[in-house]
Amino acid sequence: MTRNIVVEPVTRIEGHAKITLQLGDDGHVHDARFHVTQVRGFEKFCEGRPFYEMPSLMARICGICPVSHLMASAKACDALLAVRIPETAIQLRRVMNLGQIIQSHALSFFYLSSPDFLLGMDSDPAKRNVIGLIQAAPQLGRDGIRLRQIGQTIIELLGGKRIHPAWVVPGGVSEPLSKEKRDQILTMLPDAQAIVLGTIDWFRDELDHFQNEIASFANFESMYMGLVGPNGEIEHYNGALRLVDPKGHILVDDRNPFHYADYIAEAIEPWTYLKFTYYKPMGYPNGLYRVGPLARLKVAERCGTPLADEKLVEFRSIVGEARNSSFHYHYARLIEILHAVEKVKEILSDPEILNPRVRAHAEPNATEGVGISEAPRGTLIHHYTTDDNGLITSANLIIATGHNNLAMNRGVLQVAHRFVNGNQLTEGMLNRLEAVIRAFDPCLSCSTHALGHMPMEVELVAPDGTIVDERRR
Amino acid sequence: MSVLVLGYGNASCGDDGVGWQLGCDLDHDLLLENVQVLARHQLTIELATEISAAELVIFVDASIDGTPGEIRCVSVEPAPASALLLFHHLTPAALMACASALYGVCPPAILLTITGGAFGYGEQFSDAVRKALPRAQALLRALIEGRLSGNDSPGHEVAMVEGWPNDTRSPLETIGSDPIRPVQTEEGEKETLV
Repeated sequence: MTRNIVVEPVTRIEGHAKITLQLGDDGHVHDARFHVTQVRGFEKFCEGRPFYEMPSLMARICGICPVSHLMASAKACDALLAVRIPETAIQLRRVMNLGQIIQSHALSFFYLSSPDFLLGMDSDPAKRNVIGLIQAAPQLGRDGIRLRQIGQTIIELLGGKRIHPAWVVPGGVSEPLSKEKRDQILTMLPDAQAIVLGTIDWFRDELDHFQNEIASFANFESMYMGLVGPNGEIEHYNGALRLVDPKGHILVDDRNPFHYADYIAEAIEPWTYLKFTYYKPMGYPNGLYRVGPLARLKVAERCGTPLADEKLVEFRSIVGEARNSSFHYHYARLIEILHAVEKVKEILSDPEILNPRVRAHAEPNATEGVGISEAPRGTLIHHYTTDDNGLITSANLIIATGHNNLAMNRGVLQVAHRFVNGNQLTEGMLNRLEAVIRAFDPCLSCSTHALGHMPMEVELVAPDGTIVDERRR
Repeated sequence: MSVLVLGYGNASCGDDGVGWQLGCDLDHDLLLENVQVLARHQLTIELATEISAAELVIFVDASIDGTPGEIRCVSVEPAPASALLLFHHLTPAALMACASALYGVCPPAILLTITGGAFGYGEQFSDAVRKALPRAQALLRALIEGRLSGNDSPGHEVAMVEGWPNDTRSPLETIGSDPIRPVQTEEGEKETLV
């Protein structure tokens, strides 16, 4: 007789989800599913709206990564205007996107995942949270807060507010950067750099304590996808969309965002609202690939900034056989924060960043637009069509968490095989099931375009559908 | 004395945005010295940093308790919250507790609330809240300037009489932890809170 284990709700992620584990007659886990149980439907209700409203509308999908939606949406709208936006506007958008990378990665690493690293996967769940982190290691807590604050302040100084800034508009940005604001951002960067360098060293030394997790957290070969710059460097705003196979061979290297549907497609399953994106030539579900910080470090040859490149070399030298483990998303996140800090400094050090020409004005000149950027969690695609008056007739959003859905499900199964056996769930099992999901830093509000709550649930279900055990948080 | 004013709320949900609006209005007042004003969508743990540097913290928020337009002041004592609540529902008390745990300091804090009556989508305030705004602004300024103090008696609620600041009497009455008592106005009318 087979049975199911259900973990519900999944905690310390952005959104609402549960995990179901199907047990076989032998008591071992035969299958695992990560269910996303919320839906909102942004793609549908924006139909009929004027295209120029889209960046602000789409930013409302998420309070954590609104900037990412602003970027992809504005780029899609640039394509509808059919204009080449001023170079300074591109660089200013890039700085805001990097500020978003800093704040979101800091949230994921310090607030959501550090309690596991510092207090242990098997520690008391009542203390294994950000409060416990603050009590056990106030300096680590202060570092996380400061780093997130710096990312948020960059966004606020550019966009006027931290959440849902309306500064990124079709054609560029709504106002240029002042010297005072530029200097204010530059002043914060040394602090951010010192914090992330210290954290990388601390985390590198902690890896020895997590060898079991490294070995089983979605540790399998897969394809990877992300944007890359013209010289093979890591890229978050423009560049070519690159897909590589498990050996690192390039499968796709495409600078035209309109081609995305030639090589990726989305599948649906009746048990989750989160779609499964896959590499078309390999079909569903074999076309599994990953996006996000780890994927970006896989598809790029280098970071393109000196300190991050040093840390990338070090990272590649220590991951060894487990180079495909999704546990390393955490490490990759830290390297990306370092890169973002360096890149912001580089961009703001160019006097051209104060150029007042930051917006191209035009009427709509096309009825189809695609924008692709890198959100903290991975590649983000916005695809709009309009009528002749610029009113939206369709919108398709492909979100990082959807790209990672196949990998997350397979990762949950791998963790379950290693840690779950029998009829009862222990806290350690439960936490590892959640932690493999957490490594991907999924944003379920974004990926289902849904209004989300935080919790997660796990259920253990028998072959006849009987729930054998369940945990909720 | 350095004062931190935290006005927060959702400006797209009617009266819920009144705290945010009061913060924005105050932020434009360049005459205030030693006052840092932050208008936020919601309280977040990062604000613990600013709190740790202040000598007095004034939270300004909308409330669903009481009659629309009612204004209340209450001292805030630090109280740890559940970890899950830290991200989406952080309270002033929990934020003060975080500041204490992180930085070892916890300045006195006051929560000023304006009771709302309409929290639907939209950027307009209800008539009751719109009418209460000048009084709330005056009370906020008095708290900042130290003319009024909600923290002399921690844990006690304070009420302000109808008509203040035009009324010459003390605008606040400390009422302890008892339910809010009516306040006698000069005109002999009994009001609860403004």
